[in-house]
Amino acid sequence: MKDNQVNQNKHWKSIEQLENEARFNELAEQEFQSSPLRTEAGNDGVARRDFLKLMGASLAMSATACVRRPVEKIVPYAKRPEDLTIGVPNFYASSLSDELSGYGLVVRTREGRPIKLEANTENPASPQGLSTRAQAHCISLYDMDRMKEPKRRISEGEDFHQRKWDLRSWEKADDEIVALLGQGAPLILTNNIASPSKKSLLGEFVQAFGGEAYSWNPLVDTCVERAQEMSYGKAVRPRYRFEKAQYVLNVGSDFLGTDPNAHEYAGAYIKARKAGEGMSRHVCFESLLSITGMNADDRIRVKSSQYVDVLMGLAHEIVVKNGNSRYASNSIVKSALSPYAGVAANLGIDAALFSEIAKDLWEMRGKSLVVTGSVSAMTKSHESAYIAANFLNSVLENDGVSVDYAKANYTGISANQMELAKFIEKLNSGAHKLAIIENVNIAYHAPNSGFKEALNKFVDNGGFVVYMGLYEDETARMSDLILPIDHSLEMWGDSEFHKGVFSLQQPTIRPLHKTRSFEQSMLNWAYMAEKGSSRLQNTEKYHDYVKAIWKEDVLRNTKSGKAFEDFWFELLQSGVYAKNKDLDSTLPARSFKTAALGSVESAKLSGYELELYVKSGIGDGTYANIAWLQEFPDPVSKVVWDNYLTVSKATADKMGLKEGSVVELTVGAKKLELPVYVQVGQHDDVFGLALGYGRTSGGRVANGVGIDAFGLVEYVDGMPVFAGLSAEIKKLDKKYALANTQGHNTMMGRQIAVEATLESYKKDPSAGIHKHKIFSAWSKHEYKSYKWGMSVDLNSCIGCGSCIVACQAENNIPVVGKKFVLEGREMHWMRIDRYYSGTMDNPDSHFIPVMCQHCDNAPCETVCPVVATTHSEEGINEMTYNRGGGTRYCSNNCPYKVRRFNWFAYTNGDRPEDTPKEAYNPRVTVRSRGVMEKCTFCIQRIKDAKDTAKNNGTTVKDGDFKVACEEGCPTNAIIFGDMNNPESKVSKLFKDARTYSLLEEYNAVPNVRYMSKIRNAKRETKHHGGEGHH
Amino acid sequence: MIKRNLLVTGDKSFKDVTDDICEPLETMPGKPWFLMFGAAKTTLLFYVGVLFYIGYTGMGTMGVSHPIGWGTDIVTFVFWIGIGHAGTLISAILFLFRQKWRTGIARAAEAMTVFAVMTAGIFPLMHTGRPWLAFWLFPYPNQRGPLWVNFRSPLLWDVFAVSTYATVSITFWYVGLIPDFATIRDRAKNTLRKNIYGALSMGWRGTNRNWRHYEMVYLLLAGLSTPLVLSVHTIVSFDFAVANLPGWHTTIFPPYFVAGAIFSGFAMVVTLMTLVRIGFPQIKDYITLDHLEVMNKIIMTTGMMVGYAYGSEFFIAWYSGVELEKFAFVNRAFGPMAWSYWIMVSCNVIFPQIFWFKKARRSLPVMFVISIIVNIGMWFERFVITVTSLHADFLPANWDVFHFKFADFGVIIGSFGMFFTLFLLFLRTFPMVSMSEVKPCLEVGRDGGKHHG
Repeated sequence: MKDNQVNQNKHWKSIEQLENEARFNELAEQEFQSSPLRTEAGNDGVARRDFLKLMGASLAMSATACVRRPVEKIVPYAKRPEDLTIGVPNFYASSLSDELSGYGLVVRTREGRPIKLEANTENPASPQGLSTRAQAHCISLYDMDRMKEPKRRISEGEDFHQRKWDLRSWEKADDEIVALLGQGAPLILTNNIASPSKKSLLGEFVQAFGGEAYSWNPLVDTCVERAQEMSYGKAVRPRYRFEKAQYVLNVGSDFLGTDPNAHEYAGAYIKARKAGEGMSRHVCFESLLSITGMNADDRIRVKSSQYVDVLMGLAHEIVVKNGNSRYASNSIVKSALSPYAGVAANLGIDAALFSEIAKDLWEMRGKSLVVTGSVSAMTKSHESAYIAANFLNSVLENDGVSVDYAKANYTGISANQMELAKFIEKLNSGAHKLAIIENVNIAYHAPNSGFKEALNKFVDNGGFVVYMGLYEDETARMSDLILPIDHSLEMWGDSEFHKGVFSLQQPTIRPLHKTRSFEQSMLNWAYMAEKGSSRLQNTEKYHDYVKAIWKEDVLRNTKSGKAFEDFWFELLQSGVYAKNKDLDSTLPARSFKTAALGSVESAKLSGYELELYVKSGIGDGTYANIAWLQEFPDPVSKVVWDNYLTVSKATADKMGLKEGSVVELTVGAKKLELPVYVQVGQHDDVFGLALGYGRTSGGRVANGVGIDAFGLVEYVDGMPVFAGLSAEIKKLDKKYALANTQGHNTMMGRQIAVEATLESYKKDPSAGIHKHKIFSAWSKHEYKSYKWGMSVDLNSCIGCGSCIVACQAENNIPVVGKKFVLEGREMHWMRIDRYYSGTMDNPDSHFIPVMCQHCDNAPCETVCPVVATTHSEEGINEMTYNRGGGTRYCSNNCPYKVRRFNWFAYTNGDRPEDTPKEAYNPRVTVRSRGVMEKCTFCIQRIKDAKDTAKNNGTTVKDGDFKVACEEGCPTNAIIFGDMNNPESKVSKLFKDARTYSLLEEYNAVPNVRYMSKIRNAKRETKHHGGEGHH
Repeated sequence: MIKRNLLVTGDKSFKDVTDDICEPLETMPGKPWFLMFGAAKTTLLFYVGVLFYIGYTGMGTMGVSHPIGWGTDIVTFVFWIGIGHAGTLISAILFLFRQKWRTGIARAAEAMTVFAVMTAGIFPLMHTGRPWLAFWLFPYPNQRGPLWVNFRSPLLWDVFAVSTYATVSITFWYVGLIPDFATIRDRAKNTLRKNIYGALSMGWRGTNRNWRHYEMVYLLLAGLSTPLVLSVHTIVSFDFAVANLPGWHTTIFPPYFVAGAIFSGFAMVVTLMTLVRIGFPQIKDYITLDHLEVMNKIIMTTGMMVGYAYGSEFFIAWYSGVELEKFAFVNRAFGPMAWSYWIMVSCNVIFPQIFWFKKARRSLPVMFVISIIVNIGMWFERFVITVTSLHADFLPANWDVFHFKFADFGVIIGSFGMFFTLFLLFLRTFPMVSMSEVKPCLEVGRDGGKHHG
């Protein structure tokens, strides 16, 4: 009844409603009678609610898509990640493959940002210290010049610089590549691959898609392997055991400076250089002055083209002349060595010295080491030099002892110089339509290799070039599609640099830009193309792939399930897995194939020759955009922000050249205008020129710094020749200012870097140190708790300068740029002073790292009118930046001149060379203009260690922490600790007879003390610093 | 007894004196004054611009760098402070010694002192990295602990020495001006002028009591100023002598600096007085050649004193047996910056020797040129001390030479703009010769050798 009534009382809007209720109701449900989204069938293409959802989501996305970090948020973590405490750094074990060198890393991160790289002490192969380049690698992560997203070329142009580019999404780029992969086999060239996972992945990829994968690096020394193969039958890359060598004969190798893994070799070398009985002797033949030669006990100047003669000449002395070793009666050996009978006389080397070296080498057989090779030794006869060195090592019974060819030898170098030639040949062949070049800048590094021509031809024939790299560099500009790859701190990876020593690379930050690693790309492409093994196709993330490789290939499935997960977890913590922890055992000697000596050739070059070398900071120029490296004073010349032609003193005098003169260098048909740096100790007939400069597309810092020397490299049978290039120079009427951070190069007879010979050290352990009778009218300070001190062992310091960059990274030290270095405004808190003594032709070199000496009687403290610099209760000379007015009186009164003044605002971040703000260490104040600063003894680390100790109810002990320079030092030359603790290392070292204070007679009582350098030199003919001062 | 030449020539009466000296204040300046003032003021404005440029951009705009932490600013500061000394010496010490010849030049010399100290005062402020915090150099009560200044720092002593010196000099100068201001007030024909100078003269009536008080105050201030002549530059020299830098750390500095200050100050007085004599011919009767000759003698004497100091430094450097000390001095004379040393020696020791000749001593062109040479030499003396000691000190790796930059020239030239602007204003607003002091020196009323007190 009731229902009926309702029905009857119903109001109706229209006749349609009254008549046809069902149809009307349906329409009434629709809010809009006509919708733009309505399809012809009458249904919504997109439902209204869906449309609103999409709109809302896209609104939200458009509002948030550009925001990486909500910068205005006051509390950075409303919900804090579990493992993170604001203000406390997190450490992640990782590893770094810096092209040809491998490092175990610990990455220090703050609030999710990696801020500093440190050595992983767990790594049995290189537990101590990093190279300058590895330390600076961290800020390249934040480099604003990195490529940020894929780019596709949209217009053709003969001139690559006129090509136009468009941003491209990864999806579209992937589609394009997968389509091309479907059409034919790709041609791949990568940089050196030390990663077993990447090697395996690339192998599987090539297997799936066909084609070829090559691995090349501009500076890889392929002759090592070739010579090994010829000498012993197997191409290996040996690891030299400097710690076992009591006699090192070095012919042109820069194993302490610029050779791959120099940081590792330096640590090993110094182990055998402890002052006293059993200290090794190091004799060096070299052409340019390198830090290796500077550390040698005896250094003999020869040209690079003469290295073979030196090695064969010594072999002749030992084997033929003195009739030693089991090869003495071998007629092949005799005939091969006979042309080298008069080497010493031919090369102008003191014959007595030469014979003595040969005699000593034989006496020290079984515990010596012969090494050769570095970039500046890569002459046409480089391979011969290696064969000769191998022969000497076999003669001297070093093979297997100090030459490790199978235990933990270098397996991490897959790159081969010949592969570039093969790659170019394939480009020319026209068999491929897709070329993928990953992270290797061929256009810059090998302009004479025929690469550019081949690439042009390839493109003309319809080829498509994909470049994957960090920067939009010279090679990227020649390609069709540029894909940015992840920085190594952003991606998973692994490496096996030493055979059996596997390191894991953990990402410590999510990719900052729209980048994707080559590894991840290969997985994606295989998935999209549905090709390849199931491991290749079905692994979603490269992380999973790495894990699979570790499980299946590294561990050979010995662990599975929970056991593997536990292993993986431990691996993440330690970062390294050594299959064989014992890297120390001796291997049996291999038999030397004497036939190899038959192929030994010696180049006969007369006149001047050019030797291209690399600097330890800039290297091959890949990281030239890192301003820290540009402003890193070259350990030898102390020049920053430039390369230059090094000319010996005698030659410079003869040609009327001075530092900053400009010359025209002619090598074959090529001419370059270069500034001159007069390098004492260099061979008179040799010019040196550093590679890695003159970038045109390296980023805003790198571009235009120095002059590109890669154009001078010659190729002989596909092998690059870096040295022994006939050259001429002509003086031009021009000047060029080189920014040198060191003012004067001799010690002026003052007691600065003290040195003594091993002989005099044995008689008197404090030989060379002149002690002063000091009288003071004042009572001493009292230090009741800690007293911090630092010992710098000059006998361990090789002058490499790692500490400088470590300090720069830790303490937010700004880069000032060439203009201001010229004016003397560089900011490095520590410097390595390099002095020469003896003759200008072949001087002795001395290194002394100088940082704030933290004097007990600090001259700076008394003169500051506003008490901005004060003495702490723990003996540290403290600098209160906020109080500093900037009178600079403290700097004037500092005898060591270790204070640095902020002449300008260097930290605004408005210049390309400014350190990216993300890379700053939040623990250290960023100083403003007008403020004095200096070494603080890493007070922030001291404070942290003290806080930790206090929380644990203990006191700070040795090993609780290290200061930044100490940590960065590959040779343990710097030891920091508590002098009030008699058990600490510093306390003990300070009692050593070799310890002295710099400028002791001024009675500033520094808490940094030095230990004299001991040289195992046989002759006293040369002046040794410090002995002149009385 | 040798009869002295008259201190005021031209047979002046008291009225003549008043008329002569008040004339520049009571007439419209001529074209030459406006031209000079225009030039000086333009230079001053340029100076202000340069100071803003330095202050805004940073100290790196100047030649100072590592290891040379002090350069043009400190050099020019010491230069100007030194200039000031002659004025105080003339007005205070010569007053106490009853040297009547001082009366003609005392006022202008004192004005020079005040302006030189004002000019100098800007430099220590501007040479700091953060000049806006320079007030931290004063010990004032604060909430930071309180955080005090470092009383052991010679720079702080400097702050006190210079500020005391400025205060006393200005007071002394002003007190001396009071009777003259009253004279101007009395002569004033318009009200504004009368009121201004009336206020400046602080109600001076010229009564016996006024004069008694005035003379006592003047005597006391002269006594107070006298030690300052010695102390200020002594303390300025402590900035260097107390530091441990070879080349700075020498006990000879205090007397050497004071002698140098008087040397340069007198040279500046000679420069200014020769110019004033050209601009205001009537002043020739008050600032006579005799005055100038006496000053030239002092210039030569103090020049030889600094010459002796140069030699003594070398002797002590050798005699002490300190290697670094020896090196510092040999390096000054023969190192990469030896040019500055030889400018200093020739300007300060060699050229003033021409004053052995009476003709040269009394020749206005000669003394004008020599006085300028001496001031160039004295600027370089401070440059040699400050910069060449710093440029090559203990550790040879740090060594570097000084590179002059635009701002260095800017502040040197600009500071002269400031000084001359002030001095030219002084010439037209204040009596440039002390009327009240000159009048007692006149021979009026002393005819026939009758001497009155």
